Amino acid sequence: MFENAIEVKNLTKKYDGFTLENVSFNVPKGSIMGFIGQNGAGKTTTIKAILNIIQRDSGEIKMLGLDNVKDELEIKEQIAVVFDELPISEVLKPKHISTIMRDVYKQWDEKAFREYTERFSLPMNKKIGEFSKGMKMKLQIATALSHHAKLLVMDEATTGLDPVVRNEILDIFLEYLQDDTNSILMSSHITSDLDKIADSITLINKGKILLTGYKDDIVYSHGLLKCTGEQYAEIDKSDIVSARVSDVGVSAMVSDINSAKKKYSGIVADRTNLEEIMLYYVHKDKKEWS
Amino acid sequence: MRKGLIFREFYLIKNTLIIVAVTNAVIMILGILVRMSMDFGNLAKLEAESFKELDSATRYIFPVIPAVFISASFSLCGNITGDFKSNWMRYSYTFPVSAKEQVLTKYIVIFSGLFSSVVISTVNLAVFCSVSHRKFDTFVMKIIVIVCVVWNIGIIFETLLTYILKSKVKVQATGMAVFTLIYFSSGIGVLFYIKSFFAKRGFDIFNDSIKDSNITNKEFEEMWHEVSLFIHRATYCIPFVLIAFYVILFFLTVKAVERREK
Repeated sequence: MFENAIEVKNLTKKYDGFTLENVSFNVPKGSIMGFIGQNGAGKTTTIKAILNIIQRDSGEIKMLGLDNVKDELEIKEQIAVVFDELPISEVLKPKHISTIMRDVYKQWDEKAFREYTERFSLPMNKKIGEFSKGMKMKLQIATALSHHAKLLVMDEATTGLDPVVRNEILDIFLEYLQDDTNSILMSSHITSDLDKIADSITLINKGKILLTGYKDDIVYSHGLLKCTGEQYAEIDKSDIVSARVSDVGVSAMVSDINSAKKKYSGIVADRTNLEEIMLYYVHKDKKEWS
Repeated sequence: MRKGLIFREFYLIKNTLIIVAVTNAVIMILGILVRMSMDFGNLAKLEAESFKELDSATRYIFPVIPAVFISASFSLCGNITGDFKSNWMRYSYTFPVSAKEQVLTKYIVIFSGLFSSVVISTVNLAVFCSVSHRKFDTFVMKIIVIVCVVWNIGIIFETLLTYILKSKVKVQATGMAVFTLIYFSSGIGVLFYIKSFFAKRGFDIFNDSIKDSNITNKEFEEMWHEVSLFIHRATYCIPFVLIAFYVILFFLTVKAVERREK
């Protein structure tokens, strides 16, 4: 049996002006991994490589214990993908999706699809073009969850949705994970969603993985040192990820808040969250920014 | 075979099919009315020569025009530019469906377009021949088959191009360039053929180069006879040409689908 729903090892993909460089991370079985990074960081390229939509230059990718290229069809029977926009023609109606998908997936469950559409209050006989963005996303999720997929891959699925719909969708994902053989890879730049539901986090920036691990470990090990210019000058720069310098003082992100507290006892140390961690890691190369 | 995917293709062009059916009916009703007028109405009063010309023209116009129109409309079947536009193409890469099955679905739909075009055109022709008090016109039927097949080959070629180029604009530009070249070459070929044909006949008759005023119906008839022979021979070749194009382009298209975005 496999331990990780997804294993990415040294994935490399070169484009003009952008390189995905030795990307490695695992999505443990039965968990949600949040794949975060700013726009253009390489999230979608990584997901496309995982799904074998694009050719990779090198590296190894396993999904559900199988090779993503050699065992492509077997894997795709067991996964579901949700994109940022509904990739289905707007002249179709939800009832047609069921007609189409029952021949695509061996395990298509018409009853489950009807239940999801009822639960989401999606009219079966209305053209998709007349749906709101939230309804379209719900329809895509209903489609994704109706063939008993073991792995759900989502690319910016909650982007552009209002908080009520986002919460509703996040609840569905948590329900989906009640079965501990199910897993989710969820790419997003809305870190508040991942704060709520993710078990682990991978942060990517400019095609490189900056951080990967369990969310709680990451959030609780990191912290912000709030200090004056003079105090900041005394901090060992190898202890900090990056520092935000302003007229009122300096906020420095440290990756080991406990040791920083001991080392710099005169400086205020605050807890942090995923959004701040992402923000400070993105500026890691510059070290100081304003 | 994925019936669901085939259903999707047909559903997407449902409205177009309705328009095709209505337009076909209108053209055929118009054709029948013209024929009725030629039998019992004002057109029956035409002079013999004009009547003959009209009779000859209607023989081709009413059955062939709907065939061209229907073939063109069925070209929307399996049209993958829409799939790229709606991101269905990207979505379909996430399905447990092999490249062969994906292309086969498209080809079944495209071939059913050809089959339907030929069947509808045959019915049109049978009706039109019946109201024209003629036997079923096999010569016109041959022209219809050639029109439908040539159009159909164009569609599968366009499908391959779209999979390779992955963009409607690029396909249109490439298609335009290729077909302009083909049409231009064909045009020049036809021009030279007609010119040399009449020059030869003119020389035979008048022992001189041909002039427009010297062209008589006899020369036209002779030329038409040669064209008829060509159409007759082409009809026999058409099934083999069609199968060859389907097989070759099918495998090339499968390769294009398997070749992932770089």
